[in-house]
Amino acid sequence: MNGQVVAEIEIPSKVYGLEIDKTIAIMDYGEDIPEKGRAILYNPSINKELDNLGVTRSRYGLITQNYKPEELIAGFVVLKADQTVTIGRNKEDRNNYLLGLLDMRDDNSHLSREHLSIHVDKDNNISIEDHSTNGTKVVIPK
Amino acid sequence: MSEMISNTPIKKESLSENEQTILIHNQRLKLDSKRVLRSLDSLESRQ
Repeated sequence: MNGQVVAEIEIPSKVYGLEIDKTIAIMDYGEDIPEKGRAILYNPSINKELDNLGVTRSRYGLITQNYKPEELIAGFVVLKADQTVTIGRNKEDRNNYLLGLLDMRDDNSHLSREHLSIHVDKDNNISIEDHSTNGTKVVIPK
Repeated sequence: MSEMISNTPIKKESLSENEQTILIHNQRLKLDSKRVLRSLDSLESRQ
């Protein structure tokens, strides 16, 4: 299943001392995600479809775009309606592992514990809130 | 919907032609269900 990029969020990161921003994309898979069964989702960073990532009735998801596929655990976080997903270096939050933000090789000092949060309301509107020390770059269509 | 991409790899460049970069800092950016920017507001101070 393909989707559209709704927004790209640049997350500061240092890998082996090199400053490399990780880009997390908010993807819109439209209204046609099967209500039952496993969604097959397209990951643009590795140019192929991924299977068995979970059952979802959600329209939106998060994918880390510029991250090597072999380093991904799953690489996809579902954004469910009326829920908030928080991204940061909090090791107790599974989403941060799924998005590759807690790679052991990273120096995550640039990343706040709760860097930003993304909320999807019941009408599929998206709110992106920055709680970080230095701010967050968000790329959206004009 | 003409915007829907099917059977076409989605690349990072997919936003590049008509994109804008916004630095948000203790702010809330809202996009509606059609992915249109609706507001950019300051967050109240958090404890």
